[in-house]
Amino acid sequence: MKKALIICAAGMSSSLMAKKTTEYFKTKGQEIEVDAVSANEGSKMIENSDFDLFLVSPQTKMYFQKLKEAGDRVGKPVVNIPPQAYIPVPMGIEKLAALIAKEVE
Amino acid sequence: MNIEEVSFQIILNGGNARSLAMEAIELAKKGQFDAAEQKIEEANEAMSIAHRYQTDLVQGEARGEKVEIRILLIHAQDHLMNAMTVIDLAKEIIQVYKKVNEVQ
Repeated sequence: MKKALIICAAGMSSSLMAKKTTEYFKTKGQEIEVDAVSANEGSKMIENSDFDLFLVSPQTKMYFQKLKEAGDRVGKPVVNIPPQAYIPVPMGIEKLAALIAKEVE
Repeated sequence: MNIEEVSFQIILNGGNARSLAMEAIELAKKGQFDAAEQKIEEANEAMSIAHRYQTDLVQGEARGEKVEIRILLIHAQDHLMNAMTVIDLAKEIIQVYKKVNEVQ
């Protein structure tokens, strides 16, 4: 089981995307779980958690550099989510799932 | 477009506007004022897109269409107001950096 964490401003829109993407992986039979957290807990989560991948939502890309540095310290990937992969419709969910699957391979 | 999608469009474009305004301040800090003004323009464009989604909702309600009120939508409007404030202040901060630059 692989685990990915989406980081956004308040952890709200990311919770919705995480839930829908986790469900999508379930239906596809892929063992990947997605969770969400707010930006002010982002660095802490990167440095002390068992997630394999961290994703930064498009509206919080201004924090990307700081989060990326935290990722580099622990040798874990931190990637930006493109806007078209951050919409809670089937097409957006598929794009996000594809991005996550590629990164955790 | 359902309320979730509209909320996300407001969050994405509002958040983008805020990020661009912050980038504008960074550029002004380095003395790159033309580039900073350019970023403010881009921030305004992103803001317009976000705003259009909200205006559609407001006008829809005024026409008597029922809008489903979700925490997500309220959250999206927080993003929007936040972005507006950051853009307004970024414009002022750029002016301050310009003045500082002249004095130096």
